[in-house]
Amino acid sequence: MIKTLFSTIGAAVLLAGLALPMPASAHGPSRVKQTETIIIAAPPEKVWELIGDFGGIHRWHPNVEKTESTGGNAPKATRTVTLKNGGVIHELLKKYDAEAMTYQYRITEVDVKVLPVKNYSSKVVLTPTDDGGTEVMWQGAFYRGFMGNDPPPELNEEAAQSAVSQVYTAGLENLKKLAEGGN
Amino acid sequence: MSARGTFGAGWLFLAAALAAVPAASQKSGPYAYITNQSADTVSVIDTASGEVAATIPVGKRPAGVAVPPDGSRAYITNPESRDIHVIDGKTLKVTATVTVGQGPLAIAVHPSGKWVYVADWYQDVVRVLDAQSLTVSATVAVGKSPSGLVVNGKGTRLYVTNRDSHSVSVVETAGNEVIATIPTGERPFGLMVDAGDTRVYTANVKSNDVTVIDTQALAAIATVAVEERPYGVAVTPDGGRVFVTNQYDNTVSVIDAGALEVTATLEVGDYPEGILVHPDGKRVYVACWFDNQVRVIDARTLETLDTIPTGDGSRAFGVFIPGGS
Repeated sequence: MIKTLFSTIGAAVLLAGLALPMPASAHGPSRVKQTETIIIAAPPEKVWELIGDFGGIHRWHPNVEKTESTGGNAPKATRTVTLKNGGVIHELLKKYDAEAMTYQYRITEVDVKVLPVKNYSSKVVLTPTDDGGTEVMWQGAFYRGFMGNDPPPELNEEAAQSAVSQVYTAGLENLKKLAEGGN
Repeated sequence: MSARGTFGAGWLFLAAALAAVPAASQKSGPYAYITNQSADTVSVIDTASGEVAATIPVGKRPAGVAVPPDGSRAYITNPESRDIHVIDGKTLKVTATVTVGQGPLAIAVHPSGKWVYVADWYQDVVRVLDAQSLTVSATVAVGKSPSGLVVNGKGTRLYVTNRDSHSVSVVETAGNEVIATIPTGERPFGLMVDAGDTRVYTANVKSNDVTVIDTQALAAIATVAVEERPYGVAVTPDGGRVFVTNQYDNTVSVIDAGALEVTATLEVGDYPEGILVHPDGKRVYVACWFDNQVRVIDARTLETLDTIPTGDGSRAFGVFIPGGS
């Protein structure tokens, strides 16, 4: 944790190129949220079998090359997600409820060049639909990549929300294809 | 069961008020002013009825809120537009907009209503505004990234959390001078002083605990572990119970102020942030940022009494109900 914190501070200061002390995290800028949902014509159990495996995101997300994970699906499990473009994201599982088909996790370390966000946390929720299908909701709360005042355009709130939205949409669309395709 | 009982009492009160007063001046309130950060609005909840009485457009990304005990006004900070909106407590209209510094976030008002204190996140100062002229009358240098403000009941002291200095600055309001700087846990954010001005509690975002400060000794006397990312603190009027929002756990920790132990942990909405005990001492209001709602909790039984839909990104950071604590 301490190592993560220090590297976050390091990244922020380096990025700013300023001698001014930058907040290590949170609360200078405003936190934003992003939510994407998709309806899948497959039963929740089938969708959960894919997305419910914290260490198996490479099985359904088209941007992911591989996942290295520890701790399975128990709280404090970790996964290191390597993207097809070479970017790496370190994540930690916070809460996991297989019965309710939901979990929460957060990013512990990511370069803003990979994903232009800070203090990102996320939640996945599956809800059965009336006709036997599944609604999947993927939501995130995060700050923009630049924690000082007056961010450059590539590190402002719009950039952060757009990047997260693209990750969610690409993942959910492929999840739908996989879950529906096997029927 | 107890929820029904409390609603019953509320309705009786409302019915009595309706019978006694002509319709044009129905008894209402006090109001709870909830800043909706993503919607750029304030939801005004009539705490007598539990209904949203008004939704008021304000500046960009409103966060902080302060209301004097008489409820005559509400002050709202908008960190992104770097200004403050003043809302009239009767008409519920914005009556003034004032640009203040580089990052106005936390805000508090003196119990007399004469002074408004605004912490500047980027400039490491607290500005003291004359409430009548809305001009800066003093600037107090504090620690790094001042993030929470609260004035004691007598109005003699202002307490400031310095998030990036891991401390609380104690400011004497008579001369606007810092008389002490007290170390806390890591990254203190929200804070509250009890009604007797005996203790200050800070929520420490990074160390996931609460620092308990003795206001006479001007020193920390205890640290109480809570859950992840504690944000806001509320205290019952008798000082007996302390409530803390935990953003990452979607919970409220309940601390017994005598034993200084967590006695209960309550599930609330996602990303609970601003929290305050109603002046009646019976209800706790919790703004849930991700779920766009306010939860009302029974301060004694700890049951959820009500869930009130507000606006996108409800934050309500500060004393958002007149006389609340």
